[in-house]
Amino acid sequence: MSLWYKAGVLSRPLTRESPDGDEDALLAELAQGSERALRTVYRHHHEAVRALARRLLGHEADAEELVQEVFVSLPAAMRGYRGQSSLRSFTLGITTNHARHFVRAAARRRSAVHRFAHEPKSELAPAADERVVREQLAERLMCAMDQLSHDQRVAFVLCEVEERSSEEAAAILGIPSSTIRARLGAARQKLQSLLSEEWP
Amino acid sequence: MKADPLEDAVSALRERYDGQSDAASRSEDAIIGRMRHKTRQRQRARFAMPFAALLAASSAWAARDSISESVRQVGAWLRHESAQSSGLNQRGGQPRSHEQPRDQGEGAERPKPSRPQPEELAPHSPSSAPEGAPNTLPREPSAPTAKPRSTPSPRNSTAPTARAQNAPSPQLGEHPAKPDAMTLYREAHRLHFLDKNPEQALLAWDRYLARGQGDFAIEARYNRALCLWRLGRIAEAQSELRPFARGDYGGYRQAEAAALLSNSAAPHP
Repeated sequence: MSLWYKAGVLSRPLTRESPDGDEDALLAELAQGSERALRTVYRHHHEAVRALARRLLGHEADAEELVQEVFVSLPAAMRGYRGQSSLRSFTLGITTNHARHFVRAAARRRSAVHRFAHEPKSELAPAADERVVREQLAERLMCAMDQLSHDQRVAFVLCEVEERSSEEAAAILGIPSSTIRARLGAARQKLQSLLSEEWP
Repeated sequence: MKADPLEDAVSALRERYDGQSDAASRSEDAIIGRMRHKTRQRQRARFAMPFAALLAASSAWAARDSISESVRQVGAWLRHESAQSSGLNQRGGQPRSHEQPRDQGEGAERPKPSRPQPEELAPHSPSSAPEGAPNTLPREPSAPTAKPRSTPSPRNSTAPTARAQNAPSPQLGEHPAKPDAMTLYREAHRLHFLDKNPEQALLAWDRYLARGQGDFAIEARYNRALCLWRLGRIAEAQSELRPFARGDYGGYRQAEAAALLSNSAAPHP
């Protein structure tokens, strides 16, 4: 069984993308900085990486920048990859690591916007357009998430927003699942408190 | 609104941010472009680093020679000063002014307390010796001091090594003997280079060397060999010159000694 199947990275054989069918060779090529290998991996994983980046940052442009940074650094990072997790988990782990300073920048930007916006809570009135209301909800959750630590934020996004199990999140972050659950519990508690203050 | 605002907000966040993007292909190209740029930078660094390392190493090597020479000179000056002070104390702490006549009596050629450098104090090479000197030496194109700056000197990295091997350990008890050694050296130097008296100079060099391995023992040995040569004691001179020619003292006077030895077969008056 190929590494890619064992790792559960792909929902379909990589051989369809890689004519020579040699996944290990592809990973080796990626570690060597092969453009072809990088394009292949990008096409397989960019949506997952982009979704996580956007959900962590709440900012489209920053998320796109983060996606690029993750894939540019992937060949160098691959030299330390020993197949201990799936390539997707490995890539998502890189995303969470690289997201740290992007998150800080996005949080500062949101904080500045909200200081000047003075949006009244009545904007969540039932009469408002449903789509706008849900966007505002998402935005307010993102603002509340800015109050979390980076670890809590990552655990919350992976488990709650992306609906991954604590084991999956643990594999991505390379930490015990119990730690994930603890961080998730703390994050939920804090967010509920913050949102209930806003919407009593 | 749902009962749990957090669940509702999470759902809204999930819907709002997904992985679909129209810019995916543009991002792919941008990633490849950035990777190419990084690769070029790495390749440039791969070539630039050895050059930078070479430059740094050569600079450090040059600085080391310069610094070690400066330290050596300062150290010698300090030892000399210390020795003079202790010498005064041994004579009952006479004031420094009482020392002046002795210094002046040695001649005005010692205006500063730093130890004499053989190259600086040897303006006359054996090749320019007066008639009293044997005529074999003037024939030598590479007389010892003919090229005082271009030939390997005790300032070279090799000569101090040899000196360090032969030099006495810097014990405090030796300091009182230092002024005498320096005086002997100056005397021998005067007889050799100013008076051009090889016989007296030879005795003076022997006296200096008999004091032990002084700071200029190597120079004194070489000058002694020249005196022997001028006095026609060629075999002894050859014996003295061979270590220099072999490079036992690094590059110090190696070429000159080798040239003299190669001409030693020539008839000597």
